[in-house]
Amino acid sequence: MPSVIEIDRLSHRFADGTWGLREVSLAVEEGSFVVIAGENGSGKTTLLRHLNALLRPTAGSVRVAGVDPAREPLRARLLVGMLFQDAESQIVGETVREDVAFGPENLGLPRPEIERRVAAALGRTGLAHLADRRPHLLSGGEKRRLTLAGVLAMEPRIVVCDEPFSSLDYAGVRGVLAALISLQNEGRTVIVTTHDLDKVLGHADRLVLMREGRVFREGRPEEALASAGECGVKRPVLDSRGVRGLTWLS
Amino acid sequence: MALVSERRPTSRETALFLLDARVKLVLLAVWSLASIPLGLAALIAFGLPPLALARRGGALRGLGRRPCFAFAALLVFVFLARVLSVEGEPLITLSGVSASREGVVSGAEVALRLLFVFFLGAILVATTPSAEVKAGVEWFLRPVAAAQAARIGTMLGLMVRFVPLVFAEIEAVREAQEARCVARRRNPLRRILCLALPALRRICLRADRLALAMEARGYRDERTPRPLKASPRDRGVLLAGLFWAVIVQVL
Repeated sequence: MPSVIEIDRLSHRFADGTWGLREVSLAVEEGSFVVIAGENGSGKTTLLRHLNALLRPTAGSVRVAGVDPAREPLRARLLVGMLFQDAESQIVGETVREDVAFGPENLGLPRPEIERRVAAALGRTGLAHLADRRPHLLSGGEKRRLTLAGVLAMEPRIVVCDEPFSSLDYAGVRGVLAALISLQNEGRTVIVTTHDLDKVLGHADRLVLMREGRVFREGRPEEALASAGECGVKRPVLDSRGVRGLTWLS
Repeated sequence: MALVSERRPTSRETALFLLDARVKLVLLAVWSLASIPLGLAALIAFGLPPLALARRGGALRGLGRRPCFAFAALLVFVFLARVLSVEGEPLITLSGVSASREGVVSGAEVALRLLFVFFLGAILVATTPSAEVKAGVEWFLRPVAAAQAARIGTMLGLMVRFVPLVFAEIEAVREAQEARCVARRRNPLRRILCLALPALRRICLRADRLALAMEARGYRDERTPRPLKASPRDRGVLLAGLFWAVIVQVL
């Protein structure tokens, strides 16, 4: 499979002089499910933010389907949909339906196309019956699925999720995880950062472990998992199914 | 503390709910202004018919109790302030403070005017999705400040969206401070600062995250506008409303 994301010696230095990323190189295959893990401050979120031009590289380069996000941010944002850790802060609309329509409206799409996309995204995330509900009345899991619906309505090729399972209960995690897996089954590339490998690693094609702004180890989950402890990530207990048993959807 | 509870209109209510948001905004502005020069009797005559129509249409059914009580307290305060501050023929005198007849009339007028505008606003909020109000405001601003209209519309929407969140943030900080026995501090200023500073910090952080999320979703000023359609019925209601405001002024 060809690489849809190519990161070459990417470094990022924040305004206060600290380094968020140091010479990160990574290639992500189209349609794959990638888990990025690492302790707090290891650079996971900083890395994701370069994919849709929320941050610009200090050095190195990022290519998303051939597009340089730093030069063409709008094109990059069409390709990469991003879910933030704090779902509440990502919700803009006064109703569920309006929030999902926010992205397509930004693209200037005609109203019938917006309505088609909103209906499809709400259906995909199981929120159609809550379309007229005010977002602050939703549960944590529903809010997270709403942010996912907002991203899906923009029909991105790549979906990037920053800690999508944080603060969610069992049902919430299962709902979000099922939605992410169905996205991958459609051929989209899914990238997830998490501390909780036991929830999701069973579905991953690749595991990227980060430490102090660098990629410490990456590869097939079965191989890379051995280094999890060195990156401050709890190594999950494997059952007879091995890595494939690391899922909350079983 | 929502002004109106969240609910769907029933079939009997559709006339008011389906009215173009721009018509409602114009009538809100015109009727509010038209109420300013009116005396007590004229105010009652002017205000009652639209309020009765709104009540029949179900627009007042969703009004929240708490904001109504708070507003009633404000009205009582305004009324008493006028009663005690306007000079005239004394009605009652207690401990050197007297209430005048003119003060009572003036207080009743001001309170009734405020009540009228409050109900008009409540009807607008109860019968119009905020997105339509936002689209209506944008539509009116477009000829005056085309470039800023979309941005102002978005700001309005965000304000509506984030008011409950701001209250939630303040409540969260208050509970956290109470758990740490902030009530034992004697200095009230210190207690206020203990609440205000962390709450403000949290709200600012949330605003930062929101801006980032909007950017990630490709936010820009040139967005697809929300369609607004005025039917002949909307125009008829607008004309009737304007005519009513003029008639009351003339009479």
